[in-house]
Parts: sequence; structure tokens; C-alpha cells
Amino acid sequence: MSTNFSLTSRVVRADQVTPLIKHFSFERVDGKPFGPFSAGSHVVIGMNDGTESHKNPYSLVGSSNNFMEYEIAVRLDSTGRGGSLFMHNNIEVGSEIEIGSPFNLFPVYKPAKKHLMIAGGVGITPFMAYIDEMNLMHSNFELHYSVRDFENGAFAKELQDKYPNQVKLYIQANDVMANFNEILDNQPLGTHVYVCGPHQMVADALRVADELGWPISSVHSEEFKAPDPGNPFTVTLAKSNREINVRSRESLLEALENANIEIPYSCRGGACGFCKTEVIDGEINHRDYFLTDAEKASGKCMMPCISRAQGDHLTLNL
Amino acid sequence: MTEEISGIKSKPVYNILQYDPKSRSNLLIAEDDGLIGLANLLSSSELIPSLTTNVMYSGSSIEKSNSKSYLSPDRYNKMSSFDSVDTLLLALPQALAKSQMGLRLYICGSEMFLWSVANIAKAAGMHKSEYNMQLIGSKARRVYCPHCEATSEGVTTDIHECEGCGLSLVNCDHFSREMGAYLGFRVDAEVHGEIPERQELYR
Amino acid sequence: MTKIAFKQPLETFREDFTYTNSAKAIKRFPFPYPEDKYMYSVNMEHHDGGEPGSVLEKTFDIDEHYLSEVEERRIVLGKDPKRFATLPHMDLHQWDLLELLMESLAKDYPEHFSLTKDNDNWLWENRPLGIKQSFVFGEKSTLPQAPAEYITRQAQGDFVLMDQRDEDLYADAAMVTSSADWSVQFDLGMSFMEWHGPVPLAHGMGVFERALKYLLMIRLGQPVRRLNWTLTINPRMDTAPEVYHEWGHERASVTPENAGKKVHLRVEVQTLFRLPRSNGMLFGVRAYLISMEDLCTDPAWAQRMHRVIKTLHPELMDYKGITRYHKALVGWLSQFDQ
Repeated sequence: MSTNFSLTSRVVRADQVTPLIKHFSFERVDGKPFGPFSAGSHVVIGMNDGTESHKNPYSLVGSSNNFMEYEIAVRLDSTGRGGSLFMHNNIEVGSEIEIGSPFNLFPVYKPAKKHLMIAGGVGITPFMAYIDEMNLMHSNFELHYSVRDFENGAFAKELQDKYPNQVKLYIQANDVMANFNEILDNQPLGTHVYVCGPHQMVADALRVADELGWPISSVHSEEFKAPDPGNPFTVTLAKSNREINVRSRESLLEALENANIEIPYSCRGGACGFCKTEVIDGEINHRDYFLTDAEKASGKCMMPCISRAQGDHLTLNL
Repeated sequence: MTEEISGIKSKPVYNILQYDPKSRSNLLIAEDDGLIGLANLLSSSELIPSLTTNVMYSGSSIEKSNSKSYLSPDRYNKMSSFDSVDTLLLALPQALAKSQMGLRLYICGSEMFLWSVANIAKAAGMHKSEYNMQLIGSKARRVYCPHCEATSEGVTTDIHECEGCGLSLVNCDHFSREMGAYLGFRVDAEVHGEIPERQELYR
Repeated sequence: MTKIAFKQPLETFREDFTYTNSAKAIKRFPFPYPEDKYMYSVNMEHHDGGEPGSVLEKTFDIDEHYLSEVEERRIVLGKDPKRFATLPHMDLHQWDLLELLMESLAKDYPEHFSLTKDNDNWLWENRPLGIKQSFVFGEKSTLPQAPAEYITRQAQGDFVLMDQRDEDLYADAAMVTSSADWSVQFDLGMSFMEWHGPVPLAHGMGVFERALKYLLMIRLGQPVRRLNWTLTINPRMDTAPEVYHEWGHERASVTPENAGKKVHLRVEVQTLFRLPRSNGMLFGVRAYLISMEDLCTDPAWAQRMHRVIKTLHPELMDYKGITRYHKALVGWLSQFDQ
């Protein structure tokens, strides 16, 4: 049984919420409900733009309608590899795409005394599901949400109306920036902080948390970053006796998939461990967050979604 | 015959207190000879003097009048002395309720003391990475009896009589951090009356 | 046809021990040994069906002992309500378990169970127990007990709910009334490594580290299962430490003559599910009991049983509590391996 199980789904709503952010809602083509999922889960959307296939992970927004639909938010990345561009320009109501099963690398920490959420832009997406869960569990929470401007901040008005005491908006257009020192200082024991948004924002928030003495067990973050490009290299597949090329702007995982070699995956960003692959030969440039130091040093395995060859060749046990 | 249960991996292992350089404030907590562990920690060169460092102590082994000066006074802000461990444990939740993220606890004393303090820290929402424990003092065990749910304190032998139901229990190394106790069970369950000689193992 | 003939009158798992297996139950018993010598292993496989009529076919197997086991659970909880225990943050996990059990039982045994949903207004029917329960999913006050307690009182087997956090699994809620010698009260809140502390041999082999990593990655809709086994004297379901002082002596009552009747093989079908709303894990432990006598009506099973028990590692023997009657049992089994 394949771990890359996916369902053909149809777009039932496509809203350009801001010039850069488009929301999509999907239903299964077989008419069955998707079913419940945990706050913080992501799914991988697979589509083909005619020349190549794209597989991108997206957080799921909170569920309504008895789990008939999934909702995601896609931020346009014009410097990216084309997936978000394709979704913005070509995916409309009625379009069909493949959706993988949800997996959660950013769950709510259940025993926390207080949940502190820090969101930037499209990073609000998982927190919409979080707030559903916080309400169910009657949890103590705070949300600090940075947007470019109020009108275009997805869910901003809804959040402020519903939770005036718990939600604080920081509107860049008004020159109001979130001050992580202020937010993270003087929080009571047992607080957990969750950060989701642009890379620099996440890095800044994590740095401040560290400086303020927050243990890493209380700090959680998620960002979906496309893998960084690197040198092109070739790969020998020992078991199938094939050679493939990995281009500079594609990941090893993508190159394998384009050559019709399916291996398990989930987050596509080096964190979940699903794509772990045995390496027989070649020096590895490890870029992941999953393998232990010992595993990396052994040179016997790697995460193809994000890591690459250090030199110009690798031999994999595939 | 006693069935020997050894090498159990849930048994806690303790180290010497080590200062966490990420700490934003420190709370040192000890009973009796555990003060020695705190003194060693305070003399560590890594300790950052500008941070708030407070001490909570309950002890009889070191002269009360001596205890304040036993620790280098320029290395901590405030020491609170308590008449008994019980009063210390009663005061601790309040101290933690007033504290913030960035606090680290350094705990030193007997095994039972360590876990009594750790469980208060946990109830306050602290994670195990936020508190350190060093065992100086009695290794006497708190033992949980599943037959009557009572816990017996200060058990130094492998077999003892349960304070709740009176059955002879053997305690093994399976340890519950929630309870701060080792698991006991009736030693002569298979053949009633067949109770081996007890050995003192945990002083 | 999934209509089951439940044993009546109810069988007992204590005192007079009237429990027996029908010929059908003996035939479908999950014999656990693939080889003549047993060594501990993780041996996980996907839990996605099995041979029609086998114990592995359905998501949660119901058999002829259903009513008797439900009654046995009721008796145990009456004496010791703390065999169901939960930490405060486990509500979502409990609702996940309730949903999973209700949906599975209604789907797999439509003659006996049905579930109707109208948004959050659910109607659950358990015909063998004469239960018709309307409730609001997510509202604790609309059920007579905590959600996990409510539904597991109507299921066979034990259930442990685990919270996934800190790259680890914590046993933070459980219904355990047929425990093979471990205590819910004591183990509640333990991490994966902690509650496996007492298991011998496996630690040195890194078995648990690998098992934990594997479990952390289990996906929704892709449950796994494995078999575990031990021996019990008399068909006693509840061999928890809490009552060890009551049943321990039975181990000394085995002779080479009565071993066939007294000694029972207990096989656990252990299932692991990712839970959708809480992202936790469910660990289901479904125990099947059979006397040596009934087991050995199958000659191949009898011969293998003899060889497995004869060559069992002493530490495993000790851990499974077999030491005291090992010799008597091997003596009795030897007749099937000439």
C-alpha cells in the first residue's frame, strides 16, 4: 500500500483575497467528505502545468461543513519554481488536482497552559484551525498577526471581531510592527509559542525566544520553503540500473518523480522523514532537519526532498 | 523465590547540576546536604551574575545560621529558608506562579525530594528541559502499591510492608515520574508466606 | 454475513472460569509463532484486512465472547473504577476514539450496530446490549460517561490513548481491564521508553528507538498491527498488578497433569491508529485466550507450542511470569512432539 495516497479533488471556491494570496476550497470528486484533521496539518497538492508536475505542501485552514471541504491559502511566489504561479493563474473553480492525506508537523501542544501564536501574512492559515481547537478545549490563547494592510489581511477583520481581547493585529501599512521582545517577554510558565510566516519573520521570532531563555521544547514553528537550488548533479539508481540528472532548480525528489520513480514523502521540506533514502556512494550535502548528526556523518542515508550531492554524483539504493 | 527484575530502562539517572547558559533567571532549591550541590553550581564561572538567582532551602544537616554564608552571597539575590520540606513545597507553587518563561530550576536533595519538586514544576507547566536534578542524600524510595494504591515513603530495602495494606511488597526499578515512585507488588503472591529475607539497598 | 452468535449464558473470567472456545473460535485463533523458536521483534504490518472470518479481517474484531467480555469489564470497573484513567488534556483524543469505534463497528457489523449522524447530533445503536444513545458529538454532558469510557465499555479489548509531542508518545488516557500485568494508574503519563522500561532484552537491540520513530510517522487512514503473546493460568482476562495478589498463586497450581486445562495462551492483536482531530495515537490491545488443551487439538500448533516454550529465553520466561510452571508445561506439551 502506497504511503503517497492521494485523492482527485475539484476546486469549489477560488478567492483572490489579496493580490498575493488566493484561497482555494476543494471537494473530493467521489463526493465523500474529506474527514476531520488536526490543527496544523498540511496536505500536498499535486498538479501538472503541461510541462512538469508540481507538488507543494499547504497548511489546512479550519474545517467547516462537516469536513466536506479542505481550504488552503496560496501565496504567490514569482521567484519560485512555478507551483504557486500556476495555482494563481490556472487553477479555477472546476479545476481538478490531486490532494494527499493530511500529516501534522505543527500540532498544538496539548498540555500547554497558554498558547501564544505569532503569524505573518499567509502564515495565519494553520492558526485558523488552531483557534477552532482552542475553542473546543477552552484553552488560553493569544494571537499576534502581522499583515500588510487591514483590508487585505486574510481573516483579519473576522478574528478581531470575534476575539478582541486575544487577537492583536500589526498593520505594516500603518507602520505598526510586531515587537517580538514585547510579545515574548513576561509570559507565564507553561506558555508555548507557535510561529508561522515568512522565513525572516520566523527566524527573528525564534532568535528572540532563544535570547529570552525559552527552551526549544516550548517553541514551535512552521514554514514551507521551497528547497534552495544547488549545483546540478547525476544520480545512479543501483536497483533499477538507471541514471538520472538533477537540475539546479529542482530537488532530487522532484527529479526522481519526473523520472517516474515514486518514493514516500510528506512535507517536502526536510522535516518529516518520509523520503529517507539509502545512499550507496557519493558525498552528501545534508540540508534537512530530520536525520541525527550520526546519521548524517555516516553518509549512508539522506533526505532527497531538500538535500543534494556535495559533488557531482550520488548512487542511491533505489 | 524472588524473581529478579533488573536493568529497567525507566529508572531515572541523575547528573551533577549544570548551569544552563540560556537561562534568564534561576531558582535553586535544596534540602539538607543538597545545599552542597547548589554551592557548587553557584561557584560555576558560567553563572551570569546579572540574572536573578534565588534560593529556596530547607535543611537540618548544615547549621541554619551557616547556610546563608555557605553559599557565596554575591552569587545569589535572595535565600528563603523553610522549617521543613513540606512548607517549602507549599511555597513553591506560588513562587512559580509569579515566574516567567526563561526560568530554570536547579534541584538538589534526596530522590523523593527531587521528584516532589519536579512534579510541582510540571504542574506549573514546566518541561523537563527547564529543571535539573542532582541526587545528594538519601536514595530511599517512595513505593507505590497497586493493590491498595497507597505509597510508602522512605523505603530502603528491596522488600517492605506496605503502609496501606500490610502486604509484603518487592519494589522493582520501574519508576513513575508522575508519582515520583517505584512500582511494588506482592512478593509472595505465587506462594503465600514465601517471603525472602530483605536486603537494604537504597540508603 | 457478520451476525454473530454471542455466547449465552455469559462466560466468566474469574472464580468458576466457565469461559471456553467453540470449535469455530479455536479455528480462528491467532496463533502467533512463525518459527519453532521465539525471539522478540517489532513485526508491524499494515492493518488493512485479513482472511474472511479471521480475527484480522475487521478493524475491531467482535466475536462470540462479546457479551461476556463487556460484562467482565463492567465487573472490573465496579471494583476498581480507576482502570479507566485520563489526564486533563485528552478530550479530543477521547472523541477521536469514540468516533473511530462507532464508525468501525457500525460499518463492519451492521446487524448489531448502527450510527446515524445529523451534523453533530449523533444516534448510536448497540443492539446486543440494547443501547440507543442520542448525543451531541463534542459535548461531554450529553453522554453518561467520558467519551472514551462510554464507548470502550461496549468494545472488546483494552485501549490506550497517546498524545504525540516532544518527538515522543505519552500514554495519557487508557481503559485497561484485561491488562497483562501492567498498571494503568502507575503508567499513566509515561513516555514510550518509560512504559516499555520493564521489557527485557529488546532495549539493547535498539528495538524501541526504531519502533518509536516508526510510530511517530504513522499517517491517517494507514493503521498498523502486530501480535504479542503471553501465558495465563485459567482464562483470566484481568491479570493487572492491582489484583496480582489475588491471582499470583495460580502460577503455583500447575502440574504436568492439569497443565492442559489450566495454562492458557493469551495472544494480543495490537493495533495502532493515527487519530484525526488530536493527532494522537490509539493503541488497541485485543486479547484472545485459549487453553493448551484446545490449542493442541491442532497437531501443528501443538508441536510448535512445545518447541517455543521449551527453548524460551530465561529472561523472557521471567518477564512473562512462566518460570514457576515452565517445567510442568513443557512436560505436558512433550506428548505432541514425539
